Amino acid sequence: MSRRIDTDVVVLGAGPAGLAAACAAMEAGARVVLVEREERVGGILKQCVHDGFGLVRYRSKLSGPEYALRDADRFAALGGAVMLEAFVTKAERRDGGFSLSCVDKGGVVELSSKALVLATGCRERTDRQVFIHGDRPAGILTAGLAQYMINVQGLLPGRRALILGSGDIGLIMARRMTLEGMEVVGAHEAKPEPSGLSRNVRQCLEDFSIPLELSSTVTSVRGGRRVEGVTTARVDEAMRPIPGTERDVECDTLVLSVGLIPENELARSLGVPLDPATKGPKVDQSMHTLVDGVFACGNAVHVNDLADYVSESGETAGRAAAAYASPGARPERRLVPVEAGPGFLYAVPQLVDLGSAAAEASGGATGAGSAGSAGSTGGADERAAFYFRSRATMPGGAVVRMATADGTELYKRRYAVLRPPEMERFELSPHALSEALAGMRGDGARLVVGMERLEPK
Amino acid sequence: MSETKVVTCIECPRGCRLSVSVDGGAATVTGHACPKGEAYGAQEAISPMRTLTTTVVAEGAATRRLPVRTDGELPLGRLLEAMAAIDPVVVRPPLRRGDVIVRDLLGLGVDLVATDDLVPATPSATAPLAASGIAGAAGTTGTAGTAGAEGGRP
Repeated sequence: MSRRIDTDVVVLGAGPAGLAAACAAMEAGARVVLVEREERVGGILKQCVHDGFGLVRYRSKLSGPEYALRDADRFAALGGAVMLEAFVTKAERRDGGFSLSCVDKGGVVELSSKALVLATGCRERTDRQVFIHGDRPAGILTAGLAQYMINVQGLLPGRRALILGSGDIGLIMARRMTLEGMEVVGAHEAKPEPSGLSRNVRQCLEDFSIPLELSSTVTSVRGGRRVEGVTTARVDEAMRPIPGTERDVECDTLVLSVGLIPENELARSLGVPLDPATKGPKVDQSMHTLVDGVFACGNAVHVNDLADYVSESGETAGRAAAAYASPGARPERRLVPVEAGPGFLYAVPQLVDLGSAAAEASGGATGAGSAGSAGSTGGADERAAFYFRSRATMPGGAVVRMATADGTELYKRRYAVLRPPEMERFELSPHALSEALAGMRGDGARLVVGMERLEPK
Repeated sequence: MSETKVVTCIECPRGCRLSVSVDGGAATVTGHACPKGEAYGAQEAISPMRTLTTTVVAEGAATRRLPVRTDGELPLGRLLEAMAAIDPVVVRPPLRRGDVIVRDLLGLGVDLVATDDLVPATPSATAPLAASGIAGAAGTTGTAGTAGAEGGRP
């Protein structure tokens, strides 16, 4: 006998994005069911014992669990319901809403909702997704797995580790492994610059005299039952190993920190179009995907540097999902694409919904709608947040402009320096959006975001 | 005799590159974007200080480790010594984030505090969200630190 639950909003994933989305949706008056695969909420933050979370949102430096507990407490205070050790195996659109098959300890639960928020996070690239020759003995693990072993299970993954890649988790783990008594012989990054934040290079590598080898990679692994060593090599600009630069390094552990990919299996099954640049769903400024009623947030949309911005997008998605699920007419979506110039690795959102922007602007003008009313996506003062990464390092900085196709400038800002590892963010007021609306008619409507590189002084 | 050092600020993700010139005992910082960065640069040039984050062994709890951190900074050069001092520490539930685990670590005037809640291994019958209305989902509700579904773990 299967159980049935009817609700307004189902949120998939109880990491920082899902927790924020669930809280925001409940605060907007919606009934919410939060579904989490693990036995506790908090997502990956549970294993992030280092600090630095919450600088933007709470103006304090919190550890991962402390940061996650803030919204977990908020969710509990709202009387929120979470299904733990539960997993959605199938999602379908049905009767203008969604029907989900969910499995938990009690068996199968059929969930039906008016709106769906995907907060499924991202996954680490593994050794299957990078090209390394040789053996596959025990001792090859991703940085996140090393982090889980040490911080959650209390196990050391090895004695002498080499790190491939220089993502933030890899850098954090270099320090963590060192503090726990392992020897970290070095971090090898195939690119000419580190992928992680400068402060992590400083406090995780330089603090412990761990060498960072740039333009260097691991070409093969040697070992029987266990890793015995790896071969490293310098690489050229095309990241091809340079013959003659090979070096044998003895180690029993190879830690991979070679990138994160948004997790969107369920989004794909619902036909949600993805952006090849972010590998996450294309969304508008409300984190609404191109499938009506499906919202997405956090690292499922694009890989963020900071949990604070993951939560921010969760709040936006949760509020918008509650508004979508509320009774009454939904403003018609008038989606116009945001075209990012060649200087951008990507820009999110990829679309702007001028329909909801117009509804918000007029709602604000008449003062209609009480605060927290489920019929509002957050009020007229809600600003659209844009996130982007530059394709290349621009030491002299750049000017970023957003304009309509006919050249009306909506936003302009000068950045002192742009680096691909550092996500940038700016906001557009609803006023700017309604101005854009005024000038836009017809099929060719679009917004353009451009980047003008400045030379160092 | 003044000496200029270039250091990367670790106060926030911006990672400003600071130039610090030390003259006598006094440091002059440039390149910072905020007062925290200025203070960090001055301290970094004279004697680098760091917050230590790690875990301690938990017994009788739903989880095996309790995340902890120092509630202030200690000298960078003493982090490994602090780790050795923390190594034998074993905690038991219940504990709440902010609870002091080790007072005055190494006599440096900083405390080691919990950064997560620690709950007993046995599932609590009165989990705060257990009555929140998901039919048949009893025992599958809880928040971080309150769900006790790992009963079999040491």
